[in-house]
Amino acid sequence: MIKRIVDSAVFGYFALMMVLILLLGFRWHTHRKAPVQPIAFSHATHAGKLNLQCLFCHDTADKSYYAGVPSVQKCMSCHQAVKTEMPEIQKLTKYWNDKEPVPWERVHRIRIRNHVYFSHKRHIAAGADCEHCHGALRAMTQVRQVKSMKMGFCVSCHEANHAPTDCLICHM
Amino acid sequence: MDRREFLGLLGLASGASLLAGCDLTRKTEKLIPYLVPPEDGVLPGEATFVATSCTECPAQCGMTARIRDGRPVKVDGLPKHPINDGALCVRGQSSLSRLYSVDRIRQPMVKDAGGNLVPATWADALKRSADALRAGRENVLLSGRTTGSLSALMSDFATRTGVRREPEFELFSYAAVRAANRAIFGADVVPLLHPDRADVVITVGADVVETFGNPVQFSTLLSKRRGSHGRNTWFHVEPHASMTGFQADHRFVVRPGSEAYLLAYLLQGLSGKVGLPGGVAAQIASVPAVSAQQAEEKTGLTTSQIDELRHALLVAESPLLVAGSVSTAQESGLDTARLAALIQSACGMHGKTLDFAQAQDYSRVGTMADVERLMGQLDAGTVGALILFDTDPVAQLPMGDKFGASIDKAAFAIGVSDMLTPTMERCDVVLPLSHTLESWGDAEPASGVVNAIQPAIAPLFDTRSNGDVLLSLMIELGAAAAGTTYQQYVYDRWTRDLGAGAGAAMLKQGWGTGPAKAAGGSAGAAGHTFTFAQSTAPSGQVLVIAPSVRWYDGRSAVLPLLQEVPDPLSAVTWDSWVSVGMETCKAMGIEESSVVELRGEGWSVPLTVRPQPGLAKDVFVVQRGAANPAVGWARSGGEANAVVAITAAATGRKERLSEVSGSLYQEGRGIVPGTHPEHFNGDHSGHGEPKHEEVSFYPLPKYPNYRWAMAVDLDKCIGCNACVAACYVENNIPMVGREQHLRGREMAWIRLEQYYEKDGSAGHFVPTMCQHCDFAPCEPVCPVYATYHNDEGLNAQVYNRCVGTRYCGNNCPYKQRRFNYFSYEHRPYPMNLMTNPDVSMRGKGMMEKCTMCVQRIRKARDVAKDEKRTIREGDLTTACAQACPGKAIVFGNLLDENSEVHKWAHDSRSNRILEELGTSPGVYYLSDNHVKGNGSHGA
Amino acid sequence: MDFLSQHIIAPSGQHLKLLEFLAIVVYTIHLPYVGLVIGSTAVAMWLTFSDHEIPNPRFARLAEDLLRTFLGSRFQMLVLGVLPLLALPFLYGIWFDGVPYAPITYIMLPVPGILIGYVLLWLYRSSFVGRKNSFNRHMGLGTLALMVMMGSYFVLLSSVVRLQDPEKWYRLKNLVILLLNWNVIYKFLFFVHAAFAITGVGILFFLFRWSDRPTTGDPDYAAFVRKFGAGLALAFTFALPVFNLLYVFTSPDVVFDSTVYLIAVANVFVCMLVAFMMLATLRSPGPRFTSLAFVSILGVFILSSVFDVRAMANANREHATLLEQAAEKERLEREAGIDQAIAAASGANLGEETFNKVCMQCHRFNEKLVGPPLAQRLPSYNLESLKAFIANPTKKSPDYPPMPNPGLSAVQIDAVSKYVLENYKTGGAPAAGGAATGTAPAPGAADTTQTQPGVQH
Repeated sequence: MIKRIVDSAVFGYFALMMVLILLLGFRWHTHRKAPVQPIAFSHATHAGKLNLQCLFCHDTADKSYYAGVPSVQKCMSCHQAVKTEMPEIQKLTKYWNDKEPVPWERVHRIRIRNHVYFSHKRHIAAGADCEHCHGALRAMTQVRQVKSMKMGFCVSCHEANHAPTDCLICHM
Repeated sequence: MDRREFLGLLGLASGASLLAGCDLTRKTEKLIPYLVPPEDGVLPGEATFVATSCTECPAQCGMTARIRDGRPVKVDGLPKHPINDGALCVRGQSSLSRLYSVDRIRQPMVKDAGGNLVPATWADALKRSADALRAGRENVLLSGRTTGSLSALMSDFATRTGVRREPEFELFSYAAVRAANRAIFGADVVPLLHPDRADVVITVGADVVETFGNPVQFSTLLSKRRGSHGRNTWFHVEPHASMTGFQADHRFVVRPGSEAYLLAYLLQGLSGKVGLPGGVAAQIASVPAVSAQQAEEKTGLTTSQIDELRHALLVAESPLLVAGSVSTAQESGLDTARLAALIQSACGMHGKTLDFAQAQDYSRVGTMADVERLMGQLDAGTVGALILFDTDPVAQLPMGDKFGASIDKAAFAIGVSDMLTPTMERCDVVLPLSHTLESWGDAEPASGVVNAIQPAIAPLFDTRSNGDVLLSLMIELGAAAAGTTYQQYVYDRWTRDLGAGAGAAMLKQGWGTGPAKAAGGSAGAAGHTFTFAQSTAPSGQVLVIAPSVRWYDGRSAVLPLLQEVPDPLSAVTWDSWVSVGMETCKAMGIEESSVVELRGEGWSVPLTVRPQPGLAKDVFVVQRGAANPAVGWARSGGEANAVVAITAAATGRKERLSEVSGSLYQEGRGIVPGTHPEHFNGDHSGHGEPKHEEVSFYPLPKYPNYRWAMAVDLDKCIGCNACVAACYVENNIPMVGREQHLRGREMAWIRLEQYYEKDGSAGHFVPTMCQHCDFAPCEPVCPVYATYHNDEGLNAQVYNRCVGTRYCGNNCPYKQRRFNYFSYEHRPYPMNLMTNPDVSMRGKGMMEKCTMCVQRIRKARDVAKDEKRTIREGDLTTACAQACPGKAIVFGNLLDENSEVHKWAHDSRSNRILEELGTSPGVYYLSDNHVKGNGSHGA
Repeated sequence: MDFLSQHIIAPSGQHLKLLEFLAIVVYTIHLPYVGLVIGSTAVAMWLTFSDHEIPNPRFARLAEDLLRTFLGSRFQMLVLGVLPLLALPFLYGIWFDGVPYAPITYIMLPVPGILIGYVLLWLYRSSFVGRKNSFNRHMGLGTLALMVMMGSYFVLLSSVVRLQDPEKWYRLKNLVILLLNWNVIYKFLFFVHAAFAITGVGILFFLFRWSDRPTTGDPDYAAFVRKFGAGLALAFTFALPVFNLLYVFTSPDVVFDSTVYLIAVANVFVCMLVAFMMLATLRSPGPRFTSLAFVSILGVFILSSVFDVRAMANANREHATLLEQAAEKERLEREAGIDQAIAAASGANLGEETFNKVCMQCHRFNEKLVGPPLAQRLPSYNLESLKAFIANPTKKSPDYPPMPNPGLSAVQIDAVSKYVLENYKTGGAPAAGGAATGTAPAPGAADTTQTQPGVQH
């Protein structure tokens, strides 16, 4: 009798530990899940397979602090001819005909309050690789944030590349 | 591409970038792209500029709007503009908050059965108006001062629709001045003043750096003769105490209404002059003689003062004398104006220091007589529809309420305005006006100069530009072809007046120069009998209703920003007050914040007292917009009375004023540069070094490339607060309101400190911002390293780090740090559109302060890096320096030997505030020449 | 690391996998031994101490057995205790090739300490016999040895653990910052407890199964040893999952993927097995599952090493991809020569292949697709200008979208330029076929690989 109680207690204890770890796993998984986009746009296809340069679509990334989401017009400039039969493209065409911009879901978000200035232009001018911060987009069918985008992430890279680390460079 | 369409797209884009950009709404989940990318190479996140015109006051300076994400976020003077040369006054800076004001009328309104104004459609409102205009009786159009195309269109409107166009209504109509100029110079204009060409400037009452003429132009020109070289001498004669007076080298306080005596006396001194125009000589002869002793007792000036004036005027090679404002807005005003004009003519200022060729055209503006005539007609009931076009007589006229009653007598009143003013509330239909930044049009600041007005943003609400309102009325009445737009009208007019293809040039440059009006100059023969000797000047207690540098004639008092920004003289922000001299206070046994009752005949108004050093005994000053007693108007000149006899009685009540100055005096702290014993022992060795050796626990800062620093020339500073307003707009500084001000929680990053001599003889105005000290006392006390000194000399504040201990604020000897007691991040629509995306919104519990416009430094660095160079002199300047009408602030790299700031910092007048504390500030002050004064002008 | 990076060629993906495997092996043979050494020393000291207070022959004997078994031979110490250590810097040195600063700079730091530790241990062991008359020296040596060992391994483990948090590397300015971190501390605590656990199991395994001198001769000593070992193991096995959980909890997000979590769970599961075996041992008259228990407790060590290595690899994914790209580049350079040869041999084929594979996604010779018909544009190009354009396309005509950079190698560009310039005049006969197969792609063709020519994207 005692024996069974002890055994079940021991088992319960270890089982609990395992469950807890698994729960951690689920928390992590949900927390890092990629948002569902209105159109199942695949970077793997465009950036990976077709080998389009990032700047081809995000064309202000090297001109402005803001990388820029491609205009619907830009999407249509190819897709009026290409893959018009695919349902996802037809969604796009619908947006275009309704003269509505596509409400993309924001993937990369700095969670802290907005006192940070980040210029895509400067980083590209400095020869930074898009995928260093945004992950291996060429392989992503669904984009998700892979980097924490926390200050440590920025500063480690800044220090590694001898970029300025004065607070005012980013904060203001 | 059609510009409207372009702006429409930008409008959409603005929504887009607003959501998408890393600017305002970090919390947003959506990322909205453009549908079609805008043309003209507009990049999201990059600023574009649109040249247009300021219309906050009749001066109509050239203005450029900085557009970010499709919305104007900052306005500044148009560089190289012939009138204001890149500067913009406090009102102009604040005019942006009129565009984004929450009080704007958002759609047409009509009176319902209950007599309340209710929202309506344009079609409905226009139809009602048109029916009323067709009703048959005589229709009248009363508008504020209009220039350029709008004025022309208004004439067309009047002729084609048979509406009688009344003389325009301006409270500051310059009636007396114009009358005098008509008589003496044969020109019904307000000439532009050229202090830069004058070696002696005498201003009688005219508040030339506040509202009179074009204050911005006067300030910019004056600053050319301020500072170190070629200084001229400026006498200001006034009955009250005005900012202009304290800026002058010599401020002579005269008894109210006695200006005429002084001028007559000065004129006699000139009568000996040879080569006077015939007519003028005759006129001079007709001036009743005034003896020196008479002049003294009438004006209350000392012999030496009068002689100094007289002497200065005699020996001056090219003097500038001008009378106006409160001095002409009284019974003897016309005489004062005529005497001034005679002196101008006698000294040959015409064409030299007075520019009649490039003058402000007030010919269409009427006088009080016109207003009274109109009221008569209204009361007689002969008027059918009355169109009140962008004017607010009810609030501004001394007999405002009567005028309001008269409006009701009109069969139908059509109001056109951007806000629901007292006048509009009495109208049957209110047509909402677009802001200038949403409109097409042009403005004529001075004859021969035409500013373009072009939209910087698609209309926020269902409003129309002033021209389009007129046109749509005309279309409704069948007086114009359907579909005609004001934009086209303006284009055509430009092409006609300025030549083909002028339109494009206008839009690019922002202004064009057309044929200037023929200047007057022939002495009018019209005789005039001077009556100032007979007319009884108000004696005993006198109320002076002075123009306000913030509110002009009161029209700008609706802008919260201009309530938040303090009055330069009294530092009062949100309240109405009456300024009372120190002697008077003693005599009446009143003090700060006690309420007095001002009584005139038929009116009385209770106001809170603000002691004002330098104000003569028994003189009470109220600013336009603070109170509007029914004081009547001067029959002779036709201007609303500004100087009237009253009786003031203390009520015993007390009410705290919301004011932001700790004290009006230095209390012996030697804050004003040049007044501290340690700075100057006899001669000033200057160079900003403290007298004692520098000792510091902290290592000397090292600045490899830049040491951003600022220099302020107090000799050029006119204390107008433009820098403050500019800073508010540029840096998203929250407007916290009266309650917080009463708690001393104002948020201004730069403030204008006013310190008066105990005897009120002089006032010093010191713009102070964070001094970015080398050894900043705020830095070592921060427990979280949120504030620190970066290697470019900036005293940085890292908002994310700040936990709000406020130690830094306590430790700052300059009291320049501001704490967010509440969250002001989220502004109500459309105010939120005014947010400058380059500057992050501070949150509740964070310290903030002047950053020396670090966002602009960053932008400049961005550009410089693209060009593979370092930041050069002239790449950037701060918002305050850019706005300054006196060109009194320079910003730059102190390490650059050739930079302006380096030169100024090493000027012999250079000082730093409280430098004896060893803080080694990065802001240098060039002491005011006339502060150490007592005649030591020039350097 | 510069020294190394000069002498290694960039490792490819497979290389990295191999390195990770080697690291796991090193940990697998090294850490359990160190655990046994530390654990047994501590236990032995405790036993000797108790024996000294109240003389107890069984304690003394067990202590002696422990020392003989686990600190028995210098050879063991060298092979299991020292050599694997020296392998670590090489493994990580290659893995983190080109990383300017990283915790690996700290990996060599503890080695001297560890060597000293072994020396002290040896002295301690040899002073066991004469402990009666110099007890304090004996104990002192033991304590010192333990402290040195523990300290050294704290440093070693933290530098290894810190490899999993690249975003914090910039802060690792000195040793203190390196050590003061919950993640590191939990890892160390886990290690220490595992050490005692394995000691407990080790006692049973080595004294009953392995030992050349079986302890079965004396039954009540055997019972004592069994109870003691099992009790020790049981107690510390219970503590393990807690620290495991805390360790996982404090690890940075970047290290995780689902397998890492599963490994952690498996780790706990194995602990549970050990616990049950120890229970059984306690209950039964004789030792049971001792070998199985020892293997399982080894499994705990292995799993946690796998966890760490895997985590490290995940956290430095991007660095790995950089290395792979470098390797790829080198490979291409090597093969460029061959490529040349192929091109020389059958240039036309390479050109046509590339054309069908890449260009025909948007271009035909005679029909307008996304891009303009080539026949209409090519006349305005010569070979050089065309190559220049393909290498760096710019927007040419308002009627068409700008041509994206196809990202071809110089050889391909050369070949394809030659190909089109030769063929467009002939109406692009070869392309016609391509077009026929290409103009009607199957839905979902986006997923089809590029390898078969003619399929359009």
